[in-house]
Amino acid sequence: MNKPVPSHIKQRLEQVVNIPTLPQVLAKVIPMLSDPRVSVREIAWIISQDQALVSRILRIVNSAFYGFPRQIKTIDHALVVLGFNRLKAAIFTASVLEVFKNGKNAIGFDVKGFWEHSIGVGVVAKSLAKYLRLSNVEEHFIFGLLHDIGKLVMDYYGKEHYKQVLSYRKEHNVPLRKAEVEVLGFDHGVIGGVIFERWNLPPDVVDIVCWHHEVIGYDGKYLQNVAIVYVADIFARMMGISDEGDPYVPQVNKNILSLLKLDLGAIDFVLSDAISQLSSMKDFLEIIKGN
Amino acid sequence: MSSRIRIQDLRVGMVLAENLTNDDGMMILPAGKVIDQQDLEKLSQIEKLSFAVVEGDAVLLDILKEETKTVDEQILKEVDEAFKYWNPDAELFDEFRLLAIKYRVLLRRVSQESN
Repeated sequence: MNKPVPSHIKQRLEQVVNIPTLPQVLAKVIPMLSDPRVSVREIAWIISQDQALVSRILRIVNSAFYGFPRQIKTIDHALVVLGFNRLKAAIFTASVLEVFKNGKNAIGFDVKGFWEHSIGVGVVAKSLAKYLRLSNVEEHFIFGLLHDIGKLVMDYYGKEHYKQVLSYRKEHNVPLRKAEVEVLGFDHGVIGGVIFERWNLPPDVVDIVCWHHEVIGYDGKYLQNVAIVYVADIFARMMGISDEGDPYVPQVNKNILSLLKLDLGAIDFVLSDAISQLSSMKDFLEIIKGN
Repeated sequence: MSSRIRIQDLRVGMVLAENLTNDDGMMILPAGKVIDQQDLEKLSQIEKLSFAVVEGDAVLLDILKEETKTVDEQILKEVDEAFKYWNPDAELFDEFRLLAIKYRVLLRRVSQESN
């Protein structure tokens, strides 16, 4: 992590969440994804040992999001038609989704709404990256898709405490993040960041997830990427893409808009681009629901 | 004062405050040009054209007000709830609220069309 979480918060976090370990294949694959010395062929060989993972990756690369006209049947074929970076993004997404399969929701957390919001933020983050002419825009979709993963971690592995958060939110009619801070002492960003760090995920993903609500105090090296997800979260909420019971749009910080050189015309442009992409994301939700 | 707007939002009578260029920097129309119907038709044929800078400091706000004039009551209620924690005097409050209305309407339309 480029900007560390204070140790007393980490200690408290370990008291409220039973941090999951990664399945063996994923524990090998995930660090390989950000190691430039490792080829996709080596990664493909490792993931071939987990057929459920292979099948999920193939469903992602065959989704309308990638828009490839013919069916992709193997990981090698995906590498040829999509290229290294786009395939890596699909493997990364499939790997994280694999961790959260077979979950049972018993505490009233809106998992469907959670994924709809996450996909929405991913699409807007990708549109922002396109507008800013950044390379590897798919990566920004992944950053958006995973930004709130701490909420899901709590729903799966810290149910008792998250139940209190959800009750607090309902009782006081406040945004979910405020309820998290009041009840737990930290927000879902910190939860996701600490867990991703434990899983050896790339430092940019860790920082984006950890600090997407605290971008003003962030002084690490991934400021632009953290800011993109911060803004994408607000824009998705403006469009009404938010999880149930948490419909609020946080007040935007103008300095962050200036940092990304976003004037009103640019925001209108980005939202319009995102709307045109969102309809192709329906099958992505089906892939996720296949958990 | 000037405003940057999307090409689709250009209207007859608007005045270009800056040269209108495509995304590669090639000039299409000069600053000072008063947009007429012929210009709009010509611009609709050109690819890689994203923005125009026109005279007036709140042009986009006016366009948004126009676009969101007649909106379903339910959407307005939802947006009021969504912006509950904003300070109504905050900068960009009106603009963000109108963008929220515009894109909620569009998103619903897109969802209905794809169903």
